[in-house]
This record gives sequence, C-alpha cells and structure tokens, in this order.
Amino acid sequence: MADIAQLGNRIELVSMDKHFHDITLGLYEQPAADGVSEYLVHSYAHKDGTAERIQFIMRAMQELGGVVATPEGSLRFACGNSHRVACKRLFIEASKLPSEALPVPRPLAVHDKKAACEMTAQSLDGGVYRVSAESNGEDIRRRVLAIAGGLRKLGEMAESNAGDEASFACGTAHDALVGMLLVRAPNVRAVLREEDAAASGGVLAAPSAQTV
Amino acid sequence: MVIQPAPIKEMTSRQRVLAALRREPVDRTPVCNPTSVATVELMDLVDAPFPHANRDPAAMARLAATSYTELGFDSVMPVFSIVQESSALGCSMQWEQKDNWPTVRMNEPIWKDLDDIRIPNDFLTHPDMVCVLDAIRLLRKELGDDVAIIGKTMGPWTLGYHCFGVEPFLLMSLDDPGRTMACLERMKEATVQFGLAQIDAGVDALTVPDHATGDLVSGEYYKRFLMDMHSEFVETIPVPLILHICGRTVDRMDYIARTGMAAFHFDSKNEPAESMEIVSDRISLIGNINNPETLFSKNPEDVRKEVIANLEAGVPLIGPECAIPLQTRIENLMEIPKTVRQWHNEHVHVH
Repeated sequence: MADIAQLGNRIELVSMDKHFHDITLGLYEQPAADGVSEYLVHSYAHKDGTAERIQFIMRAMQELGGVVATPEGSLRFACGNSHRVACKRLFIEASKLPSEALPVPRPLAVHDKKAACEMTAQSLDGGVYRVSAESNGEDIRRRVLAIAGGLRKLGEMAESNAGDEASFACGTAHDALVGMLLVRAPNVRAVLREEDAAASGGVLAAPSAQTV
Repeated sequence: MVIQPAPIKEMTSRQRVLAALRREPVDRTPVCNPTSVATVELMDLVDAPFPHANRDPAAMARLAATSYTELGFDSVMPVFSIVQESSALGCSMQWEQKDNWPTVRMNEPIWKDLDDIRIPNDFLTHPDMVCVLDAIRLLRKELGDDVAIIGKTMGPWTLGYHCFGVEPFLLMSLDDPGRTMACLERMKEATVQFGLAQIDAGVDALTVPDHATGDLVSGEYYKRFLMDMHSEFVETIPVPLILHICGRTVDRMDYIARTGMAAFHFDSKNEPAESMEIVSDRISLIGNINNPETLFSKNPEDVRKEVIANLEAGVPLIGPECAIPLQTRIENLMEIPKTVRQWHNEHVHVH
C-alpha cells in the first residue's frame, strides 16, 4: 500500500483533465501546524509531464485566486481562513486552462448577458464586496441581487446589510478570488448542474435504473 | 459468522474469504468486494483507465489487483462492469470513457421472442469474454493463493433486461409467465458457460448479479421466476456463489437463503440486523456499506460507523453494497479494512 499518499482529505476531483491525457486530479486539504488549511493538487498518474501539469495548475490557482505557496509547496490563503468552497471552485477553474495559457487575475467586473450591462463588485472594508450595475431598472436590480447571491454561494460568503453585498468571514479582501467567482456568479445554476453531473457520472446504475 | 473463543491461526485473505463463505470460523471478518472497487485514481495509479480496463486483460488485472495491494481488501474482482456477456451476445454497447461505466443500449434490443435467443458458438471466445478469462489467469499467476479471486457471471434476469430491453422483458413476464420462464431457461446457459469458464481460469468464487431489483420486482416474483433457477446454479457451478441484487430485498431474503447460494451481497437499503435475522445461518451476507452517500460523499469517520454497525450485527463479510462510484475517495475505501482490523483488535477478548 506504499503507493497511496497520505495527503489529507480529498475535497475536489477533476476526473479527466482534458488538457493532459485525461489524468485525474485531486485537491487535498490538510491542516498545517498552525491550524490553517493547506491545499495540494495531486495526481496518481505516472505519465511524463504530470508533475509539470500539476505545477501549472497550482501556479494558476495563485494567479487566479490569490492563494500563496508555502515553502513546502502547498497553497493557503494568507488570511488564515480555509475558504474551502471557493478554493474548490478555484481548482476547477485552474484545471480548465491549458498549460500554455498565461493565467492572470480577472477584473472585478463582468458583462451580464441577461441585464445586458456591466456588473461590478466593489471592494469595501472588512472583506465586503458590493455588486452594482452600470445601468438602472427593476430587472437590473434583480440581476444585481442574483449575482451577489451567486457570489455568496460560490464563495461561501455571507450577506451583509443589503442583498447586493457579499462578505468573507475572515474580514479581509480577496480581489482575485472574487474576480474569478464573478465570472460564474451570473449563472450559478449552471455551476450546480455541472457539479451534479460530475457527481452522478461515475455511479453504476442497475439495468432497471439506466436511461439508455 | 462464528468467532470462536480460542484464537484462530492467522489466515490468508483467500482462506478468510472462503471460510466466511462456508460460514466457518475466521480469524477476523474478511473485507470482500464482490462487484467493483475501481476508481479513477486507482486507474491512474496502475495506468489502467476505463474503457481500456474493461477490454484489455492486462489492464483489467492491474486495476483489479489494487483492491488487495493498495486498499487492503481480502478479495479481488476483475469484472468491474455488468456488460461483458451482453457484448458477446451481440448487444449494442456504449463503452464510455474513463469516468463512466460501460452500458448496454437497451433501447436497441437484440431479441424480441423466445426463438431469437441464441448463445453464439463463439460466446466464450468473444474478445470481451476472453479478456475476463485472461485477466483471471494473470491475477492468479501474479497474486498466487494469497487473495480470493472472485469472478462474475450475469444471471438470466439481467441478460433479459439487456437483450430484450427492461420494459419489454417486464411486460412479457406479466403477459406470458410461461414464455418468460422459457426465455430464462435459454439465457441461463450463458450464465453457466461463463461461470464454468471462469472456474477453469482460476476463480475461487463467483458473483451472480441478477437484477430482480426491489424497485421493479417483488419477492414473490423472485420466488416464481428465479429461486429454483438459482438453486440449479448452485448444483451446476461448483464454487461458492454470491448472489447480488440491488435495492430493498428483505421480502426475498428468505427465498434467497433457501437456494443454497453461499452468500447474498445486500444493499444498504436493508438494515444489517434485520437481514441477518432473516437469513439466520443459512447463508452468508456481504455488504452493506452505502455507496452514493457514505463512500462517495462522506468521510472516513462515517464509513467507520457503517462498518461497525455491520460488524456488530454479525455480517460475515464486509464491503461496499455494490460497484462503487468511480470518483470515490481512496481514503474512504481504505477505512473499511482499517476499521475491521481495529474492531477485531478491540473485541478479541470479548469473544
């Protein structure tokens, strides 16, 4: 049993990395000596280039989500909070990039197709972000609230004061992380569908329960 | 299972599984996998991804061996899927990719009536059958007699679903039970042939999945169509047989216990204690760690609780309730043998 690594709890899985021989990638969480959660990307694949692919994904997570590398090669949030749900999303988004890509932090703004306008997440004090639109109107206000709700769901953030705000429990700003989540926040249902599909795909159904 | 007061000499994994299947004393409860414990991570570990590992004997054997070498189970099972025979019978197949199970396209049935049923002369030499037989030989050569090698041969009810389609087959069973029985009689030949071939290749026991599942088929249906046929398999196929039926099955466990099967692989929809009470000491039970919730979504501590519940109910062989989801965490699977060993260490003075 020497080949099974003791990496902590696997909290997310990419079953097939489309950009590298369909290898499987796992995101593992383990508390460091100071109690802060640290993350590691791991694959059991032995294909040449696997280590480089993993290094790329961990670098991309730093760029896209603002996590920092530890001297031991793990990742953590500088604030000391685990931000587990957001980190899982960060890992999934990083693994969608080909190794040739140059990951850069996303802006705190996104074009919302349904509102047909730009939505911005403004960083306030204490890790609070307020979503606003460049246009006005009742429908647009509903979209603002929906996107703020999406941010809260994807980032495990809380509602603070108004429905258009989302705040991190750690009380610190995470601009890169919010920029990354903001891309998915307008369509959080699609994200949940994607997660459900990934979860149910590998379950063997009895013939009576099959759909084909 | 009987845990004797006097210590039993340490057994090999193979001895332990076979003794438990015979309901004889064991040194500790075996951890057994009558269906599949393949995961995408284990596929990477030994470079044996689906669908390759379902069609290439060396890859199939490498992936199957991880159950023993990496997870610490007492058995290996190379037949991960439930489609090898149906492929050989000519069903339309969807082999899928690494992260999904191969399936039979049951909306394209190959048979409509009794006279359509043909077990081809080259059934056992079809590549998808040879793959299984060669994988068993490789496993026996590689692992010797240390570990129990369990094969799998699908029962006629499952073959009926695959070859006729689920709905047509069930409707036929309602409209014309006699014709359904005749169909089962013809299809059982495939079950027997493949089972005997796997014994020649070196298996110690065979799982017989026959999906008369609790959601669609009643206990009385099981008795009427399958009970005698399963008894016949026990007479015809000379290794311990493990019947597998998914779902809530307490309404047929008494009938199953009358068949002479060595064991029943039971689902977590059945409570371990109530199931043990029904089968008594007539048959062993294997299971029943929940797949979709516990092994797939929860943590080792939750797995541990279920394993202990089964041990305390006296379930003789512990393992997942069915083929585990391919994305299951390795640490959850490793918790099963770990908990069994710890539980026995703690209880050695009690028994």
